[in-house]
Amino acid sequence: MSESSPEFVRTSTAAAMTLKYYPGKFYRGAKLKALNLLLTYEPGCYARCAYCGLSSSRKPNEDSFIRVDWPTIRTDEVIERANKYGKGLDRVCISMITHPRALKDLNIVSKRFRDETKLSISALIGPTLIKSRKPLLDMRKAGVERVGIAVDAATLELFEKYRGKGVRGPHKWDRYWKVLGDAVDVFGRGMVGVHLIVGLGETERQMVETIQKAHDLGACTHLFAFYPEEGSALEKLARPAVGHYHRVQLARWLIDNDLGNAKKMKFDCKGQITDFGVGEEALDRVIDEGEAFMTSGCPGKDGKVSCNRPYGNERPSEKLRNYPFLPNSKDVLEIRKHLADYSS
Amino acid sequence: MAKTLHVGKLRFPLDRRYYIRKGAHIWILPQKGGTVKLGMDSFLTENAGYLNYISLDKKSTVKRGGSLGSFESAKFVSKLYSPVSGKIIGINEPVLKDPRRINKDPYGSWIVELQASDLEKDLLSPELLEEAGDIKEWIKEELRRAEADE
Repeated sequence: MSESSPEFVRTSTAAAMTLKYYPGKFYRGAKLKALNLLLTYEPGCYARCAYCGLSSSRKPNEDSFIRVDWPTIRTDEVIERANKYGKGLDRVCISMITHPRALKDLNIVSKRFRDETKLSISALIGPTLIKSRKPLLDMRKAGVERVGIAVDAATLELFEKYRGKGVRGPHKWDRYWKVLGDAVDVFGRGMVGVHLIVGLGETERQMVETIQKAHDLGACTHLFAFYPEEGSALEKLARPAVGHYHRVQLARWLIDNDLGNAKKMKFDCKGQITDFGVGEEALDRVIDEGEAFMTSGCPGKDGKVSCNRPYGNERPSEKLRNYPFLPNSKDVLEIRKHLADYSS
Repeated sequence: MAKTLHVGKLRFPLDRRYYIRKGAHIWILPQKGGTVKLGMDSFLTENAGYLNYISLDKKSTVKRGGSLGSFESAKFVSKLYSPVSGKIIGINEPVLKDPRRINKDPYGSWIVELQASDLEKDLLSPELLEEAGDIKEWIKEELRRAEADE
């Protein structure tokens, strides 16, 4: 019998460690606050996104996703262990993949977490499978509090190239934004997160304008730094420079917290942000506080980011792009150095 | 086969010594001719998680307490420290190519072999434990500390 959802789910390496399936601690004492789970089926995701570890177009024998292993575990056991070992957890995120059973199973797994744990529930939903508002209303009934939508690519052209026609994939840009609007109506302003991957070939300006667009629609934005998955079509593409990523993080923070607006920001001829459109003192304060450079994701009960994905975007030995904890003063000095680096 | 100390699911064969410098957790096993083999103990492999990389510094000698290189898993990275001074005379290439061998068998997977420069003196260091009772106390304290961090 194949190990498929809803009886089984895949967990991130960080979740597997926190639930004590895998050995290991997090570098610098980071703590995971949200369990990331993936629905799983044979033969897998029907989509063909060029950068994704789950893509059906990926070479066989490559099984990682966002840099790490995702072991398949019985849902019963994940729930049992979340209750036993998850004292630091406050959220679970259940991700659909593009598979005909995923919508139904998302609700089954969500209900189980709602009824059997104290965790708040996020769902990373697949707009390609959502043809009306009803599935969104059903999710809410099943206990989903927030939803994420992985638009990933910042522009229509990049979306088409890497997720749509360019890879003979099923996803459509307009459908993603339509479902995003519907999700804001169903779940409320600030309860929908748009995932965006920095480094797929967009300029900083294009990314910032898309962040503003999502914000204006009532959504939050959650950033990821592109990481080339071995065996994927984009395995040779370079990652975004740390300075590039930090500038986008800073702009996102200003926009999402209504401290700034893309229209007031200035860009150079390469589309790099040269002026964040806020006073120097206010900008310094935001940089020094450091929160802008932490992983962006759904919040916990304290209002701080819960989906902190420790070392999900880079090896622990590398410069951090997403800080899974509040950066210390030494980190902030490093961040400032990168913010001023326009060499990429 | 060497007697083995068990502390919970961790195990420590008693045919070798353990380097207790903070964060080290390196075992040292003297060989014939004054050489020693070094590897990671089971506490360290449990903390590190499944290893992806072992990277050795490009140098031929090391001082006691000096860095030999580093190890890295998906979510953790740290240095490898040498408990003795000496010349590096051997590197376990299969382990470097597939560091998860260390997770499977930490005590059968040595990482480097050294020709120690003053082994007798270095082995007298209070930072090297040999007795089962001492090792047990040390590991219990390490486990208490790790639990407090959780």
